[in-house]
Amino acid sequence: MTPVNPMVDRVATVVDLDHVSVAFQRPVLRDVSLHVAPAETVAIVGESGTGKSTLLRLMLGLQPPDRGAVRVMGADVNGIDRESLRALRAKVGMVFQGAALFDSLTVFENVAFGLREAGVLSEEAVRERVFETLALVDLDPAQIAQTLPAQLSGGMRKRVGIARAVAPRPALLLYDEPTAGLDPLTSATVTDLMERLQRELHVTSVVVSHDIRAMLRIADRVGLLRDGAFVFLGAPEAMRASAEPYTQAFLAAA
Amino acid sequence: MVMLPSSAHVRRLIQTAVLSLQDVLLLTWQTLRVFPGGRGGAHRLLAQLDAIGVRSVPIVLLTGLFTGMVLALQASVQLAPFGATLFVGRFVAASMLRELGPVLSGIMVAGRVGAGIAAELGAMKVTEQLDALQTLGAEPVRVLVLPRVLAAAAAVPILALIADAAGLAGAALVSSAYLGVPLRAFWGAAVDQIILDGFVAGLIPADLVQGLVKPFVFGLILSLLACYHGLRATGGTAGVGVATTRAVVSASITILITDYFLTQLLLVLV
Repeated sequence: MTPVNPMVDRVATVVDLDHVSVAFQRPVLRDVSLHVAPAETVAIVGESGTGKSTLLRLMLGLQPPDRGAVRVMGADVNGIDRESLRALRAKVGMVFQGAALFDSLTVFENVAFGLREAGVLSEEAVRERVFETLALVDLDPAQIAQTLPAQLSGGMRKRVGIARAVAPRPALLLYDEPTAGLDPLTSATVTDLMERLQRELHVTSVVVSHDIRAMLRIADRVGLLRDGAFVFLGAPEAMRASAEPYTQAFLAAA
Repeated sequence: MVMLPSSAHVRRLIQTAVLSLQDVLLLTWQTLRVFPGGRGGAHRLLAQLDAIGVRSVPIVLLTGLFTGMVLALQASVQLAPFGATLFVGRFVAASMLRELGPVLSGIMVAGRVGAGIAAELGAMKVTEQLDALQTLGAEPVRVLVLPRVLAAAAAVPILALIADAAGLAGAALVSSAYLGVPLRAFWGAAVDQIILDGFVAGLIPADLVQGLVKPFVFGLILSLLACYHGLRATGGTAGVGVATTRAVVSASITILITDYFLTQLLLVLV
């Protein structure tokens, strides 16, 4: 089995999960450790119900661990006060599985939401940033800005979700199943978009996905979860060459 | 054979009720803590005043109008044997201002708005929009709960006044058209009733104080319970349906129970 310790310099890490365990009715994550370096893209893959999305919720402070520590950009997510957590979350972008766009707001208002909440930019600067970000995700701002999410296709909703997450220019970007429910062509487009965003924005990314082929292409490291623990965590090439039986079976099934 | 609930079942029910009450009180405290709502608060409040208040006017208007018309007919049946049909206005004024205006407005708004709030927040919960709010640096209680609670607390008393006015107008119409009570006599009797019930601080009619305090409390109750059930929705669209039903049922029952205790309290105080 490939060693789980990624051997990343901890001082220079953006995300640190140390021996984290979470259980609901049953154990979901068991003694998981993960360290993500700046500008690195780590993909977490695995079967449904293995705790992939819980990892992201831990990083956002939406779910406290039963054991272990979660630090994001050096801050203990569960040990800081409400205001500090709010400030920390402002530096983290999250792309949700179903996009989670606010139904009652237009595309423009959705993408502007985080910027307006932060209250740093003027309304004119917010408008500029929203248009620039929509163009970045290959959407025509003039055409789409005043549209409601219900009027968009699945692929467009996903892109607006990505735009909303990257508009505040976060230091860390979390993706929860970014290609789930999309047709193969749209799925490939979204994967290309993620790759391009990494290249252009140099943002640290953690991607939870079932799409192992896409992840092997865009990730610097891939972690394979089984029953709440990593059975593999390493470079894509190492994963392809791994002799670990479950890893081999997972790759073969993809 | 009738099966009586076991003591364990009763204990579980009481536990659930106490825990729910604790959660609602916690939500109330969290809502107070984020008052007045920060950036964009005024805009969100105005939007909710429109959704909760302005858009409830037609339903409250109709409810008040027909309730007043029925009250006039029923009152005439009771008063006619004593030759007191001319006093229909007093009967309707007391009933509408003190009880029916506030309670009917509260229940109608709980049905229309409470269901809407619970469904909207429930849908946001099951589609991860509440998580998205938090990740974008916004607290759901501040941006969703507070404006709805403030808007309901402000709007329901005004809606109750509208129901009162519509009820009196409907009763006046029926009285003059079917009961032979001249409009002047109807309104004279109604005003007499308000004067007879006294004034608070020598200025505000006591009936009006009751008619405003009650719907203010009902507005708080229905909005907090609707938000509470919406925010707790689980299990996809079916869960949203369950949350909506619970919001309407719990708000309606709580309004009726609270009305009794509020009436007792206000009869002593006012």
